[in-house]
Amino acid sequence: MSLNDLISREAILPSLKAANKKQALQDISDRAAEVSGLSAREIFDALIQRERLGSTGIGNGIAIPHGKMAKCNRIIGVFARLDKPIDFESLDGAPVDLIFLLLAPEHAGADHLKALARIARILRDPATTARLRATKDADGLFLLLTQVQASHAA
Amino acid sequence: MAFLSGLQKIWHDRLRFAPETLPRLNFANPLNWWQALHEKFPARFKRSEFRITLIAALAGAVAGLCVSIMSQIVLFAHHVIFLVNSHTGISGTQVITPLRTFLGPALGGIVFGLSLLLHSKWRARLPVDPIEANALHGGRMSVRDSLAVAGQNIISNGCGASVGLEAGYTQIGAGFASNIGRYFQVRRSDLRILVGCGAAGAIAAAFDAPLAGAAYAFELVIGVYTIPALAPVAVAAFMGDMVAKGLSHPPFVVAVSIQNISFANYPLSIVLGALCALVGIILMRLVTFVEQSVRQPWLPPLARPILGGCAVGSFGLYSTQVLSAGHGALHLLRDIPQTGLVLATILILKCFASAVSIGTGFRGGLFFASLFIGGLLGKLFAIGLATAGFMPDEAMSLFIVTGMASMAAAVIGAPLTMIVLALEVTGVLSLTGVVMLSVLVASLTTREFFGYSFATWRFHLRGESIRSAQDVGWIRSLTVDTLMWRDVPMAACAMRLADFRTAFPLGSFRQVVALGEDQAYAGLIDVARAHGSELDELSDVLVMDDLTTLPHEKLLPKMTAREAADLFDQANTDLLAVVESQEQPKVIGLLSEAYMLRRYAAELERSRREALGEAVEG
Repeated sequence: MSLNDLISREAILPSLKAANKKQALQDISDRAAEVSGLSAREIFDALIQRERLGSTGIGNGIAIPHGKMAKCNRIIGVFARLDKPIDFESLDGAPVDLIFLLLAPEHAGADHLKALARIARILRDPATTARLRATKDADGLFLLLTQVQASHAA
Repeated sequence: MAFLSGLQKIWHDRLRFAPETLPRLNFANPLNWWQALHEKFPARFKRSEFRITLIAALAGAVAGLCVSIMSQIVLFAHHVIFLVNSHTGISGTQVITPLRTFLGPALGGIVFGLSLLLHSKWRARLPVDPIEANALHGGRMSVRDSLAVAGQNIISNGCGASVGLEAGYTQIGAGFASNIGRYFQVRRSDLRILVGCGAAGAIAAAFDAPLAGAAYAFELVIGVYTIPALAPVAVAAFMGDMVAKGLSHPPFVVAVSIQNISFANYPLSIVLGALCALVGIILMRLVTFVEQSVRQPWLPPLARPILGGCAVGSFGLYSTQVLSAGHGALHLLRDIPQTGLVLATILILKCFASAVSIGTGFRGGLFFASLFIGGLLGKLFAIGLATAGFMPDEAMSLFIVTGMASMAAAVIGAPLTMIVLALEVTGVLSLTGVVMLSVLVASLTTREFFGYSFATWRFHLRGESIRSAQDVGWIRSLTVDTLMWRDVPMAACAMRLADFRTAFPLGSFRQVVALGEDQAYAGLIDVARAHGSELDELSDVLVMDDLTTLPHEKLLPKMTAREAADLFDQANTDLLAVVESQEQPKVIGLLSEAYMLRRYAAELERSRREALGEAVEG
């Protein structure tokens, strides 16, 4: 699966300002709603419900909040770079400043898991995350994410 | 003593009972003989065809007794209400006063309505008839329900409503037979045969026609002919006929005078058969039309038979031949000279009287009505041919009998029964070819263009899918809760993937059920997928909720195997969880499609072997 299929330029938030985890998820849900046409409230509820089962902060300042929705008909991604790191109850306790939201159809099955694994592999590369943190415009972040994807796929 | 010792040796050596169950008997002691018979024989005897034949004889005798009692009560009712001679019945008497002709069925409607009211308070469920009992309930019938049906049938026929008594006869005969079988703890397949025996005894007694009774049982009530079932059914029919004769049940004889049958009659019988099928289909649809027409919210169920009784009484004012089942009228059909117009009017009125009687709720069937209507049609056919100069008048009785059998075959759906009945009640074997040809055409045409008999048409209208008495009850009893695996591996939705991998190593299970809040079903987790190497990096982040599939597709315990198979198809999976109910999604089991299909195939094979009369253990 290519990240091009997951993310578009419109789905990039280059310098999100959020005071806490809830606000960050709310803002990212709003953007996901614009991109997908789904209800922002329902996206937010799905994410919060998932977070209740366990934090999606994977460590090193990265979080991959995700959820499955009945109304969603394709896998959708939204990337946010936070201006100021926030507490995300991550495994390592470190504050989070890179968030990749993933929404999947309820019956996505293995595709959903493969997309998650792919995103995790990309974002766990220190060089990639350093470049992402250094880039402050949406075009640059989009280019980075898609180029990185291509290099990893090679 | 040497003889007794010899017997003891046979007991111990030849029969080869298992030593642990073998009582060490001293055959010199008479008490030991009794013990041997009592303890050992039932087990062997239980599977014996002799035993089931003896029980069938009893069931047939009881059916014959019931038929005699019912017919005597009805004759008495006819005498009291209509002042008719017991030999001619209502429909064969032309001197009933108009007041009694009208008031008999009308007041009968009131009494019948009250009986419906009482019955609905006493028993809420619909009575199960012999065909339904054998198709769906493994031959189990209620005597109380059967008595209620027979009682309502007596009221209906007794007051002059245009219904036959055969439905009541077979109901009560089969109902008692079913209970006799259960008293003797016969197996399911034998119980179904016994239900057929009860019906065979009843029909044999009603028409003094044991062969027709046996054929009726095989065609309609058991659904298939097998050699092991022949002896019980034939003996029951014989016993029913004998008991009825012994109790002076009036014999049913149709007198015909046929010198010889010309070849021209064979193609004519084919035409008559097709005509009978057409009228039969119209009659069955007419019953449904009346039934649906009176099912109005402003017309209470109690008032429907009153309305029906008034209508039938009004028809009776034209000719009493349309009243009651039509026994007397059928006997007179050959002897009374009536014009084609009068006969056609009586035929139409009889069709309406039968449709109105059954459609407004009177209890009974179309067995005898269809015989009479067929006779009328046959006579009309013969008159038409004679007018056109195609046949001699003496062949009229031939077409009356042929019409009777063909119409009954079209409506009742038992062609062989009607062929045999025509031969038995006339005693003229030379009719065989003509009657057989006509009946087969009637049966074939009805099946091809309508697809139902009256009984299966009624099941169809009730939403039942059964098309015959073939045993499909096992399919319905093969429910998900009898097939599912109850020891279910479960994991909470919040369990981390790393913990799950420890708890459920690869190879331990194929699927694990995910539980959400309140232990409710949340989906299935594929163990192999959970151990996939691509998820290694996320094993501390992912929870089981992320790995669940099929969160909405679940089986319910009372779903049949067929419904479950449909759900497996829809969900495109081979394993589903079973939950208590839609509202209470607590997981109680797992079911795999492969196991279900294996059990289904095994039960199908078992059912096939039972239907063919092959021995099936258990």
